[in-house]
Amino acid sequence: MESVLPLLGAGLIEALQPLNLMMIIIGCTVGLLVGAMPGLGSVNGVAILLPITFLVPPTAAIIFLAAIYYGAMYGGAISSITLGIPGASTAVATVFDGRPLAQQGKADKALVAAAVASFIGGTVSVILFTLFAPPLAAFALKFGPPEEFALMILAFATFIGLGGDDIPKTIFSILIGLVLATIGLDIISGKPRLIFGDISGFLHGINFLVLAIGIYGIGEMLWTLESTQGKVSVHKVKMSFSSLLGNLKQVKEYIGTTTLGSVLGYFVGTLPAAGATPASLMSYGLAKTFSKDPESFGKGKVAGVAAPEAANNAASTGSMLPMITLGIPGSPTTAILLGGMIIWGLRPGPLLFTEHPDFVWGLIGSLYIANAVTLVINLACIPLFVKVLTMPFTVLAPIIYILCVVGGYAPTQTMHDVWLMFVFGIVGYMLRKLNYPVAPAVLAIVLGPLAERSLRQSLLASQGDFTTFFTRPISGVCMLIALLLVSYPLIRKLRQRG
Amino acid sequence: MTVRTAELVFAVLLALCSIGLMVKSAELNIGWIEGRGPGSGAWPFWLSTGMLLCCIWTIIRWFKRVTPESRSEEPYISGETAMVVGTSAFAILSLLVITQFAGIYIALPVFLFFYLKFVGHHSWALTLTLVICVPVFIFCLFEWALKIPLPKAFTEESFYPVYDLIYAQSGGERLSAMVSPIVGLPALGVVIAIGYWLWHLFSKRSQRIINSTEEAS
Repeated sequence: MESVLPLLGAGLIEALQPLNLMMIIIGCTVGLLVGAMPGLGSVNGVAILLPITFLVPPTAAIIFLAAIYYGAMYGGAISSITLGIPGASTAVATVFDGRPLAQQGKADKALVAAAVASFIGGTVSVILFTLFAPPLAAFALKFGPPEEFALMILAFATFIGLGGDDIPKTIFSILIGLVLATIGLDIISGKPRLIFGDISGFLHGINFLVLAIGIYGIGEMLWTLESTQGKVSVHKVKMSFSSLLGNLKQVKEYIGTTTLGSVLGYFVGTLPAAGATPASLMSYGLAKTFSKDPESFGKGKVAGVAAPEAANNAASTGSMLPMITLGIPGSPTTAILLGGMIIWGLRPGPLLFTEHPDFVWGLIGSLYIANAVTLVINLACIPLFVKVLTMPFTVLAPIIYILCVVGGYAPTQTMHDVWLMFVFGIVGYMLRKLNYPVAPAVLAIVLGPLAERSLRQSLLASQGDFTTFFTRPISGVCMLIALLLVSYPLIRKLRQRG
Repeated sequence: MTVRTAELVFAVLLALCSIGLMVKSAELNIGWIEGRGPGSGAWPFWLSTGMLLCCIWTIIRWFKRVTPESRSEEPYISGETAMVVGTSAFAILSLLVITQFAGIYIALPVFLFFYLKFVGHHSWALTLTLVICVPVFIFCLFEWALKIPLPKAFTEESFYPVYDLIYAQSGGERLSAMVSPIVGLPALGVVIAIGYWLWHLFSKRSQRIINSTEEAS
């Protein structure tokens, strides 16, 4: 702990540099707006805005994107409460009690509780992050290619075992993401692979951003268009300084469940397939179970808003832990952040702590500051964000489509990638209608090159002996857990039949 | 087409894609190369084989009616959805086609005008403001700040005065670039639009103009 404090201090100083502080403020504001928009969440905001970060150095860029991630978690509650539509899936549980409170004319109470709970969740989780990240990174330094590959298998297995989606479709999604990552020049022999129709555009491979923007930009907007038909009604929010103070005093009502939800959210968030949505639902369930008055949940209970909001914020920080320390993203948003780090010339994983301490600790420091900045912006600007929600969808949609097209073009500057992005968007939308999960594909395309490299290096070292993944202690444990996770749905089914 | 039919059609199409990927991967070495490990086609080949098996699994479950999708007789895309989503998809497709052949700075105003006026039924003031300001903003952000040139097709030459403005060495060069139509007209448009909206913001009419779509439609 003592060795962490000077590094954290240096990180806070780095985060308070004028450019980084500006990135935090802009990122949090953009995140709040993105999170508040129905159908848009942190993953959409980060995917669409990543190309813009080429303007600033990597530390400022990751701080900007992490602030968007953070802000979006706060912002999701705004639309859940005032519209009754979750800004993103992570804010689904907030609707259960947030909407009834808004219908009772207590939207301000719900919004303040959500903001304060998010702050508590963020603070608890970032402290846990600071404590757990350095030892985990130090431990991960022992990892060789077999351990790296086993860890990736474990990440994919969590999607199959805990994702809750159709199993063959989840596996298909993972595999197609991995196949798309192989297109282009072979990482070891340098030979061109899967170059369809000899189109030269495939030679540089498929950038993960093309898939991410296609699916989370175009596909998601089409999905939102279908599900809402652009028809939403906003509950008005009246907020004065005195009512704000009054609502802040009620924190003691939900501080216990909020803290518990924060710790739960953090650990659930570290699991690749779990993330913020199940964390918030579990936290809501926990708050209801431990409540003296569980019947009042779902009818406008403030603790029912606070518990999931604390958990989803904590989970967003939790999902950064495996990304920074192991190079394995804990959520689709961190998968895109990880891809961004590769673009900026950084190799995510344990070496980041020793090779780029200013980057890692700057990011950690920025999380502390972003937490406070988001709370202030959120409380001060709630009426403004509610006003933005009244913006017609037909104004928002074309602007997002344009950002998608330009964002898809920017990384490689070829129209080939823009066409691919459009195809991914349409196909992603059509497959999503048939319950094919899209998040595993995005995770797989980011991890694909790393997975293939570590597999081939491991097999080369072991002369083609696959048991190397099971005989080494760390990789063996990872593979065993992965096998258990994959067989978990089958065991659950057999138990249900029994 | 019902959801049930769509489930089968997509599973078969994806199975065919998987076979195509297997064949394409098998053009490379999918076996073991002594001293170099697995051939470059091995990894994609086995992944594609896995994809094919998943598709076969989905097809078997379709016959057994195991999943909700394999039992659903609901329409895959209703008429109303096809209209709403299809219009957006068509607009994006048009944006890409025009960008490919005429450049993004012709495509953007056309796309915005179509979407705002014909899909959103917004007021002329809002439509024209966004038609002018969004392309100018995109240009300033990507070409000026980020130095990422966007596709311009045959309009490339007409942007030379704008490049003169961006890379001008002296105030005189900058001034002469400012008077060219390609710089002056959009700049004038942005100034007029900002002035218009500021005036309405102070007279508190701006929200009504933005939301005119609901009233119009």
